[in-house]
Amino acid sequence: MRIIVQKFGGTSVATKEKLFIAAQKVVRAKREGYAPVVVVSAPGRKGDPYATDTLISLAKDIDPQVPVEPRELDLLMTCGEIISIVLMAQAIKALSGYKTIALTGGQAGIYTDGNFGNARIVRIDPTPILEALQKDYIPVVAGFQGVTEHFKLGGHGQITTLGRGGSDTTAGAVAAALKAEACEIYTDVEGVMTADPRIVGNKARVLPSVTYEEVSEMAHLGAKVVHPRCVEIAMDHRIPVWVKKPDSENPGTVIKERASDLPEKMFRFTGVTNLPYVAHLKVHVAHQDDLPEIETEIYRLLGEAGVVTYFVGKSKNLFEFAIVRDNLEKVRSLLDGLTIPVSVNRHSRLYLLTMAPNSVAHRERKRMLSQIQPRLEIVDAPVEVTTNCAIVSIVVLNTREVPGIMARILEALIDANISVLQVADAQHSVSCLVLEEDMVRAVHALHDKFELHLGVGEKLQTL
Amino acid sequence: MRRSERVTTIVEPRQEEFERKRGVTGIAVEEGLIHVEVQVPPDLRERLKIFKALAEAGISLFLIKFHPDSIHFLIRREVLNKAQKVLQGLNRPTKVTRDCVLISVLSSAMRDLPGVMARIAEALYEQGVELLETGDSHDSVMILVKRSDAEKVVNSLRQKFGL
Repeated sequence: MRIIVQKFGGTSVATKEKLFIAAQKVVRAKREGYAPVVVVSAPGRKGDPYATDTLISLAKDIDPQVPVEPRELDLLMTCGEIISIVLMAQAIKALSGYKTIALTGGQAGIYTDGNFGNARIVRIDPTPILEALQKDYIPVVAGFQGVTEHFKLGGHGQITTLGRGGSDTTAGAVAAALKAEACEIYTDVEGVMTADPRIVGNKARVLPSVTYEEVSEMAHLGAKVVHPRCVEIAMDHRIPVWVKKPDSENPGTVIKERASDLPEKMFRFTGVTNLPYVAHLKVHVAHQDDLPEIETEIYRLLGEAGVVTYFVGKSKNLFEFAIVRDNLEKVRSLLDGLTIPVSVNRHSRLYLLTMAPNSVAHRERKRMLSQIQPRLEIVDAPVEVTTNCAIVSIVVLNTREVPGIMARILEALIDANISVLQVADAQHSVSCLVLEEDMVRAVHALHDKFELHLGVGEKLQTL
Repeated sequence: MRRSERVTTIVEPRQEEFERKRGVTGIAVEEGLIHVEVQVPPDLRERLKIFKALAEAGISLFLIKFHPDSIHFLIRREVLNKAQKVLQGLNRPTKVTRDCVLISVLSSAMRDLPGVMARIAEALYEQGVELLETGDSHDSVMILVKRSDAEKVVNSLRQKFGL
């Protein structure tokens, strides 16, 4: 049996017309001799009637002061996908007469841990889907959901949701469990592109083939094409992934090679990504010897508050990090006015962190501390915040083997009159922290500089 | 997981279940690295001259960081002589730290994992180790230390992360 998993996102099931376009892809696969297994997301985008966020707001609106239990929230959130599986199963049947069966995550044998809202798949029992296929049904599986193995209430496992990238994750996992020939992810774009076409327009090119690592890097750095969790499962289980558009005859992008299987001398300039809504913070510490203690305490507080840091770095008298801007108020409330006592080399100092060194509040805090601790040296630790930042990255297969990437990046950004606040490089990317107002120009500048519009990203090169 | 032929994975991420485990799953080290600090003002045009000269000499750089009055980066031991010649020609004060080790703390989803940097900072602070440089990506947090400190840092990190 040649099994193929086909995943359709929310927009593909949002209207009757789009539903039939998606269903045609399934019917065609069946007619070509494949045994298709379909995975679907909740219909529509953010704000639509059955989209996940709309469902959540139904419960939260009952009384915003009373939190909804995560277990109940998961029950509610799985409704959108359940609507989609019934509609998709119906559309396929109406279009072709083929037998279909709609399956929730639990009915499809997807078992997760009990981490409501962000569950991890621990096991897939392929039996229900395989039995359906053997009886010539087309199974239509609800994405984003599973069920726990532990029976607690009513003899059933608890319904869970998989968190971010949920339906892509379901597709990759089901494909792996069934040892499918391929996993097709249908999305709003023609495939994995060299940049966001909403930014660079028709200069963006579809990449015919990329490695799992490149597409994972792109997704982590802001490209919204396929979720890295799906890529990770597909890579670990060696399942080829295709990224395609439902209403297009173009072949899309295939992801089937591992970068780690290629010689290190091979490289490729793959694409440019962008990630807005970032804030950059620098903590200035007057005495270099005191920096490690302050740094440790601040990272501890941020970690406890659930704040993830990016672009971490330190110099003689400062350390710096970036955060998602949504966390800025939380970080401000943690750090502004925070006092950290430091004892190094028989010196004791009390550092007073401030995001507004000239404010009345800061001066007043300092005055009060001086009264309470007259013998202690009170030292300002200004926290410099740049609120509106963005991360613009060039994804390069085997970055570290290729000389001159930073020089080309700086040339491009200098020519575009763009300042760079910080840089960071990883195994397959180099990222720049820029002001958000410069983000679009930075994407254009890098895309042009690395000649991605000329098809450079489409082939591997050798050093 | 092979990150690179030059990298030794001390604790290999294990795939025991269907989806990868969350949290920190491994530690890798890379030896034979040289940390270079070049004094240069923040003007990008001045910094570009340095990157361009090194690029023209075919030298790959990584863990590049911008500091207020300098740029820092790593090179591999085998290109040190060539890099030094280039840097001498640029006439900028340069500090070279030989025999550095890059320790990477690995996770499949570092961006979903608050507190990793805190535990790394704690480990270094408790051991009294000088951190030469840090960096991070979606699947790792990297710390650069002197070779003489590497073993105790790795041991401390293994304890911190239960590896």
